[in-house]
Amino acid sequence: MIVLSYASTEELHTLRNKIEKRMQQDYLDKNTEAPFLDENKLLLLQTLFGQTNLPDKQQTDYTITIMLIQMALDTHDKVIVTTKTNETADERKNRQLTVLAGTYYSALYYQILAGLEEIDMVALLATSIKEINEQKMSLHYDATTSEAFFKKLGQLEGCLFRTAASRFIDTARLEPLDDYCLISRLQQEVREGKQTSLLVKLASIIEMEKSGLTVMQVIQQEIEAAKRRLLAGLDTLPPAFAKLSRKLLLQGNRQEELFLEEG
Amino acid sequence: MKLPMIYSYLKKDLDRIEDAMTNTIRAEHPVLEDASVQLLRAGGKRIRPVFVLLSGKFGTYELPRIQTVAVALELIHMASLVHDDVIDDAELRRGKPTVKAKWDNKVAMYAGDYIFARSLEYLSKLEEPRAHQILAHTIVELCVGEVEQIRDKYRIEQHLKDYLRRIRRKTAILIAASARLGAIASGAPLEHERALYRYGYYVGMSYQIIDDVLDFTASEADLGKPAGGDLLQGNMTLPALLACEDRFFKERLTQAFRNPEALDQETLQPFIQHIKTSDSIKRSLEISDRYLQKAYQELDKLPPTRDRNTLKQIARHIGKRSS
Repeated sequence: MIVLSYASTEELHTLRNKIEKRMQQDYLDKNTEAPFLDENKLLLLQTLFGQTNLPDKQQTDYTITIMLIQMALDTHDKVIVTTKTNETADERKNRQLTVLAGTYYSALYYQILAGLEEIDMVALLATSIKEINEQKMSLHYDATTSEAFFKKLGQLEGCLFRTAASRFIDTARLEPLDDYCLISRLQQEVREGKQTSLLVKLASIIEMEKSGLTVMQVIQQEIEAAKRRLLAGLDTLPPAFAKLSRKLLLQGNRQEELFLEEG
Repeated sequence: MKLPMIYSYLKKDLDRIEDAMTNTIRAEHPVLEDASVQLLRAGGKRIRPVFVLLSGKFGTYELPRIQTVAVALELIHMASLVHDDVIDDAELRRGKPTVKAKWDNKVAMYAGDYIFARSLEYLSKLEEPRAHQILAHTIVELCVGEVEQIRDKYRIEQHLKDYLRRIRRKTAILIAASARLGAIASGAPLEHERALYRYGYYVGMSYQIIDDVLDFTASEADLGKPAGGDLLQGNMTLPALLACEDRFFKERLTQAFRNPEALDQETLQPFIQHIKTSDSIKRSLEISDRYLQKAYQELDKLPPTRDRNTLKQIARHIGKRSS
């Protein structure tokens, strides 16, 4: 959990509520695991739109839309690679609803933007979804070393934000934020500790590399490496993003976070 | 007469739509490309593009604009099919291996998301917010319809209106939207747009009812999968619902549905046979026919052109189809 000033924590909470409200679908809510809402990515978007002159409502609508896409993509990632032959009725229902939940969140993104008559934004974000799925295929099939795996994952995780940002600011200086997104994703994988398809893929690569390390050890190593890269890239980032990245880097270090809060 | 013969004069335009679809789903990753192309090659009736083209004829028919809508709608339909195969764990579609069977669920999910994104990207060329709002609403409804279908699985206590609401969302509104969006893209008068929407809706309802009937009555060769698949999946379609008016049948099916994991083609055979021989097939077809009559009535509100006649013939063909 990132420590923020009171106002931004409250703002974040309000945004979370708005997103959750928009996603509400009784049957899906009761029968599927709620998708993970990445607050680090939410903060990135808040920071991005804070740099623009967009009216507050538009900023909120864009943020909700982009987070819906993120959750749609993440939800579809949860679909089991191969359906079990001895699948129980509950497992079957879960698999089926996971597919539909992802599609539902995707449909909502289109509905919100179409309602706002933001067809250019529909196109821009659709381009990003297209690229992300290309990258997912590449991660699924082409990553044969853990280095390549994490590089592809970082690009994939940062893609949606970078594409959205490209409409408002020069994204040439935002490259270090791929590591910001990668750290956030890997930390989430560690926190959940589940056998996700991402970790299964990574495990198969580690086995081939014969490093003798466990999946969690490799992930921890990569989190540290990504933090070092992000730290090295802080100077190139626009100030607001550099500040946000520092917060991510200092997570868990309460004293330093307070210094940061106080400027 | 085969369905494509009815609209053979649209062949040139349909070929252009097919080409545009092929170009639109091109992907960089070879597996994604193969999966998308396999899906496209599996074919299908392309009934949605046909409705878009024909509806477009009631306004100013400019193919590039109409094509944008036709391509996007068919791609959205394709994306939903590839995900449906994951939902149904289907090995075959139209007699050919599904994407999830040839590769895996993951590839099917990515291919579906990719195609959906490409369709929206493609459709964004149409600067007509109302068209986007209608389509977005339709996709949300489509999704909710599928969620409800899963909710209602193995639930015997259902009313006709539950079934009709489900197929409205599952099938009818996308066909209705196809007809409506073709009219919008061509700037057809509002009263024609409305009539075309309602025509599409009624035809879509009839189409799905017949599909549900054929699931019991058609041969495995025609279906490309074993008959009775809906019942095996726990889907209470119209023939099954009507057959449940027989208390004995209903009790036995209730018992069978209590243990879905034990259901297989063999255990369901007596139920399928009962449905085939009872009057529920005939009664289902009568309900389908009532929708077709309503579709014809909507066509009467349109100018008497060749295209109106074609729409009428398509509706008639749907009512008589056997595969």
